[in-house]
Amino acid sequence: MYIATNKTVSSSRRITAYMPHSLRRYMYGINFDTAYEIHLGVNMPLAVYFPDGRFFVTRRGILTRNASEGVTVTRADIDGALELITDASIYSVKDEICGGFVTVDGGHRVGITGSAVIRNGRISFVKDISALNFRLAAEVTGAADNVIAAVTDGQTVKNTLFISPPGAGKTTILRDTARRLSEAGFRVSIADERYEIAAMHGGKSAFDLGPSCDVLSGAAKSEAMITLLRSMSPDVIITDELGGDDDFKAVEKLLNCGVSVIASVHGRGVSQARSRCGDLIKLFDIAVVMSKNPRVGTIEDVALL
Amino acid sequence: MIRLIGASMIIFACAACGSHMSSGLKKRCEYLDAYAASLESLKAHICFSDFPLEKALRLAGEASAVSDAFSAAADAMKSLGIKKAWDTAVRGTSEAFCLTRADEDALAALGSRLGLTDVEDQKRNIDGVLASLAPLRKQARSQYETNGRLYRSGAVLCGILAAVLLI
Repeated sequence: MYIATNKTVSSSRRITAYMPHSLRRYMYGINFDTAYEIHLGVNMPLAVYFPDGRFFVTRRGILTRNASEGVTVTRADIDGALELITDASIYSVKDEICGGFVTVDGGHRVGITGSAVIRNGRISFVKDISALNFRLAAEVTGAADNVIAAVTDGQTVKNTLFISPPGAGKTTILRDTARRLSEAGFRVSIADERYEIAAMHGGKSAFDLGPSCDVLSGAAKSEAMITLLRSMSPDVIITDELGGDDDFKAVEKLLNCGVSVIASVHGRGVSQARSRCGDLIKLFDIAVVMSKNPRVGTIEDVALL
Repeated sequence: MIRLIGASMIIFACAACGSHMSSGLKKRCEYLDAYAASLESLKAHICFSDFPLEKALRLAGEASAVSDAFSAAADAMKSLGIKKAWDTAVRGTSEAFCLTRADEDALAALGSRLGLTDVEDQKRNIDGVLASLAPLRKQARSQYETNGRLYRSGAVLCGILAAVLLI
């Protein structure tokens, strides 16, 4: 759960629209505003994850910590939910299913597990889908308030690397940074390989990304960054979780072309990020180190690189 | 004079009845052909254009004689689920389309897997329905060819016979 510094916009309740009718009736009375995950598994109780732990939905439409009281999810429930998630068009989201998740309206991501069908050494489809994990998206407007002054002086954007362990709020702060820069007049482009930053669905983002923000979703971030550079003339390109050599080569190319880059990388501090990225970390001007303590989205340090 | 008017009314009524029965057979042929063409179009929209099912259904039904069935299925798929929506759409329009129970069953079979598998299986599903529709279309055509004219001319002859007997 993200604690908003300004205003939290949550659309978690709309998630019930993707629940099969057989389960939806138990969920109407439950407030999902602070929930961050809903898990449906065949022959498992319907589970909802809140910041204070895991709860199960009972047949009386209330939450309990006792798993045996939870409504048992059936194969028909999973099939029904899958039909709603994919608009009865599983074939059209085959690539997303092979990638492990489908993004639905509202920016929520539905993780999918089942039996993988392998063709030519790659997952070509997932059959006998056995579990769906709804990761509920929450937009935190104002998440970047504490760093935006370090990222830009209003004229230029510094090449910024956000460093944190998983779940510390990197993606949320990247999204809000994109909005702030876009509102400040910069032309922002987002290379959103895993649909996490902009959560595009049906050609539109579930989040407020400001007036001048372009998004390329689904493509490998190294390719997406170069494509955006060529096609959208951005002032700054934002991307998530740099990892491979190709990503850093793409970043280097962008910087040589005069485009600023804001990205994130996993790590507990600058030294760990340096050991992961090597000398390539010097491509960036500043590093913003984040942590989950005392709460998600905490800025621990802003360091010059 | 009144007898002549009555006789002509009988003949006209019988001819209209025969024509109606004949046109039912003709309509069945036309609507089955329209279904086959729309299903081919649906296959293309699913397998090649990769459109979501709702859009594919609307496009496949566009400018087709069976557009009512396709748009009804597209309208209802979110609330009823695709299987029930397609079944309801096919059976709900079958009377207007002069389809038989066998035609309905063959078409309704499409709904069981429509949209819910990968592209290859969607293609197999639609091809399977088209294959089961083929003998029904052939039967409908031969029925129209043999019985259509019989209904029309037989009805006129029946009318004349009835008129002669009554006069």
